[in-house]
Amino acid sequence: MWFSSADAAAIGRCLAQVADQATDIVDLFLERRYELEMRSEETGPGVVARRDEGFAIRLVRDGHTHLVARDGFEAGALESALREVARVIPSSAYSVPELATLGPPEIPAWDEFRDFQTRVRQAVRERHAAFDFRVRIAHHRRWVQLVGRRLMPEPETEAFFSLACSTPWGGFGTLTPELDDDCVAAVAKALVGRFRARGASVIGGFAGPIVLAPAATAVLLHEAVAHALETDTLVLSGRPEAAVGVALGSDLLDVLDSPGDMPPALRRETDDEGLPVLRRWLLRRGCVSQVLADRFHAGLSPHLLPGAARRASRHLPPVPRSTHLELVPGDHDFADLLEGASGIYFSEISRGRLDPLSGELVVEFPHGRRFRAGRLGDWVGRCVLRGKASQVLSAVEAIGDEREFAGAGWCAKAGHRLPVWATCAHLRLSGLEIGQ
Amino acid sequence: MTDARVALDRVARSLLAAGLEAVEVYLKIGRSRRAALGSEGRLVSLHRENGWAVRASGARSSLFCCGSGELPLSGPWPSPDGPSLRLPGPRPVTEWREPAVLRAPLCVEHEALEILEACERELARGLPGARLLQATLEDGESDSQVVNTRGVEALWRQRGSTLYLEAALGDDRVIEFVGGSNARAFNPRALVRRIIDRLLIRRDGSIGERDRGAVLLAPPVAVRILSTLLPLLLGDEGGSGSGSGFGSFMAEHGALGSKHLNVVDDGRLANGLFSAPVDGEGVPTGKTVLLEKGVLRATLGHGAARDGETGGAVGCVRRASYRDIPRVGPSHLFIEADARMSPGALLADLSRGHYFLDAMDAGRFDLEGDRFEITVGGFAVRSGEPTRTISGARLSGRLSQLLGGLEAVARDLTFFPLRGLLGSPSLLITGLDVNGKSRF
Repeated sequence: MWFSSADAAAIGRCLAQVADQATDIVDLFLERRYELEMRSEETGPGVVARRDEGFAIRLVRDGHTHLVARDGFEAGALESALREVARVIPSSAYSVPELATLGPPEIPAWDEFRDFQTRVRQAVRERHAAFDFRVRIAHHRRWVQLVGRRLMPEPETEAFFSLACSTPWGGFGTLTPELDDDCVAAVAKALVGRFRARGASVIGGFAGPIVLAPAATAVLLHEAVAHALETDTLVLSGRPEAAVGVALGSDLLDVLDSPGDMPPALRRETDDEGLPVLRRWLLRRGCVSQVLADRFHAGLSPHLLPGAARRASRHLPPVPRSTHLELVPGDHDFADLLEGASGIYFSEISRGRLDPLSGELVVEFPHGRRFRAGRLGDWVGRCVLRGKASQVLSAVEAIGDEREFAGAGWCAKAGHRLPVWATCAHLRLSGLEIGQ
Repeated sequence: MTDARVALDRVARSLLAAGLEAVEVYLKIGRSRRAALGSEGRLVSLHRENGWAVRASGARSSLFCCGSGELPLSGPWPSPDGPSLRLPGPRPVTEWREPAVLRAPLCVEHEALEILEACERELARGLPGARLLQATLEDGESDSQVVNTRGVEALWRQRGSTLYLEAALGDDRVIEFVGGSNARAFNPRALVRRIIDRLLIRRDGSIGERDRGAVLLAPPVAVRILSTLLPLLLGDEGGSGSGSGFGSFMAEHGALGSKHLNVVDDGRLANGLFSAPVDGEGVPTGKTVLLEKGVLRATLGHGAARDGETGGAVGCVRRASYRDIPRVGPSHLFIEADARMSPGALLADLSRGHYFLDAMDAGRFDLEGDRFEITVGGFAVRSGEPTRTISGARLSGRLSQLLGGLEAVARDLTFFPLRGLLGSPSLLITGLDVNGKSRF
């Protein structure tokens, strides 16, 4: 184990003493994070490093969750945490092993960070634009290990970069597993888009077709499909399993959550409760096939499959969340999607939210471009799409034939800040109104 | 707790090789309990926080490192980069009497759950059909130390609680979020009463008619307006808001608001959530008048940036946790109340206008364009009596009128945990549009 030379079986035996009822869920969650950030602000600090490690023990019994979380691995911490989560002082002491980490993680080299900023500036110039912008780059690494009563899956790791760019005309942020040429091009394109759209007209109301780029499609599906089908959302308005079979969108839509099908630095074999992840079909031909569940909510119904639990931190309990959304591609190339009546093409969505009770979806576009007869034209300024999630998903009339690993970002639903990823294609929708 | 001075000596030696001569060490240990009712059932958790942070700077580079567990006295540290940073020097700490509440024990499990269950019961009794979607109580305490190579050395204790309530009636959803120094002081009945009032306004209200009379804004709405002033009050850290927007605004209007607009930041507010003798850099806190009779008197700033200066407020650098870079921010920033004036008296004197209790969105505030609009709910008022329930009305106008048209303030000062604690009493303002044409 990366965190300790301790005997995992001994930890499992201790957990078994705490969970003395058959339906109890008990686990030990070990976490280590290392984040290194290069900032380009006018004032210091120029470098930020965050090293965070600790553990949490969780006991779920009769619908009650008891969680004890600790920073670090000081001597005796595991033993006292076990007592606190069990909320008893046993007559005989547990024989509890100590936890210890294997020293500090390696600090990544700076060169790649500095080089990336230079490459983005070069790519912006190649697009015949020159303006002031800043790029903040952070490298995130996380290691987690779960130990249950009878379960000890392999440790999971993830490593990725986050980028936060600022321009005089608004910010742009994204996540990426690599600072490669594709990433440089995507960032430069987004920044130049803000520059080109800086004086663009604002549209009061538009009801023609719209086309979303893969990155925008990813955000739309994250809000309208993933959040809508998380069991902690569904339970607010009834039984989560009742959603299965409901027509949520156009029959062109096939969407799944597949944490195992990501680039190696992000790929998951198990979720944050130690259960194997699934290639989980959320929508098949627009109808709900499965929902996203963790162990707690799966315990409410035999029709729910766990394996989609994520923990933003050891200090928070697991919640059901999407990790990597996939949209099955259609058979239209990009030029096909821009054919016909005048419409608007959106390359990005800057923000989205879904009201869990009303199903009202709001997505904000930082800018867009008008299109007509297959050609992109004038830029338009910031605008908003509002509607019921099912209404928006039903408006899908065509899907592009090429997919991209794009649209990743931070999801902060209910205070759980998690990186989310997607592989999506272009979407064409009609019958929706874009406004302010 | 580790001796921070000893730790500083060791850390400073290890950073000297990288050319970092100015060093600050911050240590924090904390304990908190969280209780929650929601879609995940009943949750009770206990957290022990044990963290450290190091800031260091040389002539041309700097770094900030933080972590949980033991402070690594000899690193390893990442290579410093970017601009340098300045650490504050020592300042005399004025007398500080530690409030007794700082030594009160944390809520135990059944106390915490009882507060939440009382909220659930009150809601079910007060408004059948309403549901409590989420209720979370957090109660915590911490001990912090900060030392730096310029001679700052401080140790302080803090105690704070927050209560988050989210309730729904049909598709309408409202949130109440309050904070204080003692969880036992939360009043479930009063909090739930506010939730019920807001849910009823949303259920029964209509958008109302176009009007341009006086408006009485309850604290939740008034605080949203106060928050728009933050870019100005944060001085150098205000970002774009402190630049041309407010600069041109003040050049045109002379003052920011009417003679009734007095804004204060008080890092030692009695029973305040963030009250402490020093701020996150170890600089003494105090009470500072930021706006007096509508005129800007001071802004919040870094202690280091103001060493040797006589004006400006210092002691206002906040650390949300040991993981966060210290930043200038308000502790308890509020519009001063008028102890002689009750909100009821202001309402009774309102011959024609509106009483808005609920901010239904975050609003849009454009400092450069001198315009704002916010969606609100409350009542139409005639002769001091509510005549109609209003929901989803657009309150809009010029920002200069919003601040300059302030006619009176009440005594019901109420704080909300936003960015720091922001507080306001009810405000009576004239010259704004209700359901006027959108200015955006």
